[in-house]
Order: sequence, then structure tokens, then C-alpha cells
Amino acid sequence: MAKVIFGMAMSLDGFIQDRDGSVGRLYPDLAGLRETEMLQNEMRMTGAVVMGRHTYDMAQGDYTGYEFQVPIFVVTHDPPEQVAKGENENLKFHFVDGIEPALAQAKAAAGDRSVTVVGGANLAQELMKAGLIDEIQIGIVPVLLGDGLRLFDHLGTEPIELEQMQVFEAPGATYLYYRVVK
Amino acid sequence: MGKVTADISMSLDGFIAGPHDDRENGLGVGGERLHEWLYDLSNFHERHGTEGGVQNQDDEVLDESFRNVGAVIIGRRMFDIAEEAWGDNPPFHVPVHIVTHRPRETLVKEGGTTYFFVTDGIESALRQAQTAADGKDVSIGGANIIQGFIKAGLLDEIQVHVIPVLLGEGRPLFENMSPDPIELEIVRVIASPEVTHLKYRVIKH
Repeated sequence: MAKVIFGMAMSLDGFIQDRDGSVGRLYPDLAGLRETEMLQNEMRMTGAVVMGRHTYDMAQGDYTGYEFQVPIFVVTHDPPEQVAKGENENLKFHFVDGIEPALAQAKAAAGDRSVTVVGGANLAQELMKAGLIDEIQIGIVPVLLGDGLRLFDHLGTEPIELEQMQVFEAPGATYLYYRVVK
Repeated sequence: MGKVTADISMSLDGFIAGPHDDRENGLGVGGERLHEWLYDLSNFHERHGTEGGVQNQDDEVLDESFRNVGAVIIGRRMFDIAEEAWGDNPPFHVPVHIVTHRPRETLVKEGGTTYFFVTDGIESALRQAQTAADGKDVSIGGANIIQGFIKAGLLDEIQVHVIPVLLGEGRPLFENMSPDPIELEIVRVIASPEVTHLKYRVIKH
């Protein structure tokens, strides 16, 4: 069964967007990252991607050259009239109403590779609370944003234990990889 | 003049203590989890006057954090919660400056710790601590004090010991921060099985 991996970049104070809704300061140095073994490996291991609708919209309709050339499952009640650019024989968009059906379809598509959940915060929180995430990969960006959208919020009051797997120092962020203890 | 540094254990979701932290339960409900990595270390034992402990990478990190500290600044809340637990021979072994609105007489303890109560703000506490530190570093502690120092541009380095747990609720390290982003620069990353030590320099403008 495909593993479900959630990965995002956040500021040291836990935000994934600043107070104006911008991800600018947290946006990774993709050109630099693509050179790293870490992202190369992630690209190889990912068989399907799941994202929320807001995350999908942040690319402003263009997924040309997206790092994950795999089926992408977008959780939304309201599929866009025009699908984003960048589809090809590997990268196809699927708009699915509901988190669990989207995840189930992504797992089926991923086969023996993993499902990578790329955001946003609501989707990650729902999946964490439902115990559906196997591993989390957090890129800690060296900045204190002070305010904005918090990644780990509304998780409930029961602690979730993690097991540290690996730490990578990459351009612009320190990546911490954990297994979720169930 | 030495640096102004902070060293603090934080859950991956940003908490330094669980909820309901008070005198009975200094680290709050579930908060002990954040300090577990410390309790077996040789340097932790030494500072608390007990024998034994393991010497490993985490112990070296702890030693490095203490080695060059000449004085400490903490908030009154943290002091009140922990005063009893720290006892007659507190684990600081240097002068400790407590920022407070409520004056109290200086308390000389065993083992080199003296508690000074500073009622005229963090900048005054810093001047007094720097004089006491005599060229060594000043280490600051407690979420409120760390936030105050960062906002005032007075913190040089912060080392966050990231603990692999999501507590879900508790006392956040970073809240009530300034409206402008504060840039950091990563100085060093040390990963151990139970904790990741992230040391940052605070970029000042």
C-alpha cells in the first residue's frame, strides 16, 4: 500500500503564509533544490500528488515543468472550468470532492510508490487528525514571520508522537523528516 | 562583550510547555516530553549536582550551551514556577537576573547562583547581566523574555531543540511577535535520534 507523505515549508515560528497570504518568503529555491539528492529522491519516489484547492490555485493555472510529473488529485467541491496548463501523459489533474476519496484514488494511482500531500494547511490538519499521514517532511525556513497562517493548528489536544528519520540541510531551509507513530 | 543567546526545547508545532503550566506542573500537561532528551545527559547531572549520565552528541550540545554563559536573564513567571524545584543549589551557577514588576531582595544561593530582581525592564536587565557576565555570554530564558529580546533587537543567537512530537496545545515559543518578519541565518544543524538542534543567528537591521 502506498505511503502517504505530507511535505511543506514553514517559518521557524510555524507559518506557511505571511499575514498577507503570501508564500513569497517561504517559496523554495527550486532550481537549487532540484540539484539535491533529497528532491531527486522525492521526485523518484512520488507516484501521485494530493493538494487542496487553494494550493492548486496558487500556481495560477500553469503546471508546466512541475517537479512531480505524476497524477495530481485536487480536493475540491467546485472543479475549475478550465484545467491548468502543463498536463501531459504523466501529469493529469483529477478533481475529487472529498479528502478520503481523493486519497484513495491517489493511493491506487501511486501503486508501490508514495502519495505526496503538498498542502495546504487545512488538508494537512484533516489528514493528520484522521491518522492518514505516514510521514511528514517539514522544511524550516530561517525567518520569523510573526503572523499568518499556522501549519500545525486545530490538531486537537492529544499529542502526536513522531519518530525522527532524517535531517537535510538544503538551500534556504532545513528539512526534517519524521515518521508518524500510530 | 559576549553574545546574547537563547536555548530552548520546542515541539515541532511550536510549544515549549504543555497547557496548564503552573507551580505544580512547571512544564504543563505533557510538557515533560520536551525535556526528556536532557535528563540522562552527563552535563545535566553535573549542573544538578548528581552523578553519572551519558556523554554523547546531545551532551556536547548542552555543554556548549552552558560553557560560555556568564549570566542569565529569565522572566518572573518562569522563576515563580521553578524557584522551589531549583532549590538551594540551582542549576545556573552564575548570576540570574529576573525581570519583574514586583521587587524582591537579592537572594544568594549555593554553587554560584545569585538571584537579582530587576524592575526597570529588559534593557536594564541586559546591562546588569552583561556587567555580571564580564565578557562571557548572557543566556536568556522563558518565552516572554525571548519574545521581548527578539522584538527589541537584543538577541544575537537562538538555538531551538526541536522535539519530534506535535503537542497540539500549550505555551507557544513565538507569539505576540513584531509585525515585520525577522530574518535568521542558520549557524549549525545537529541531528540526534531524539532531537534536532537548530542554531540561528538573528539578522539585525
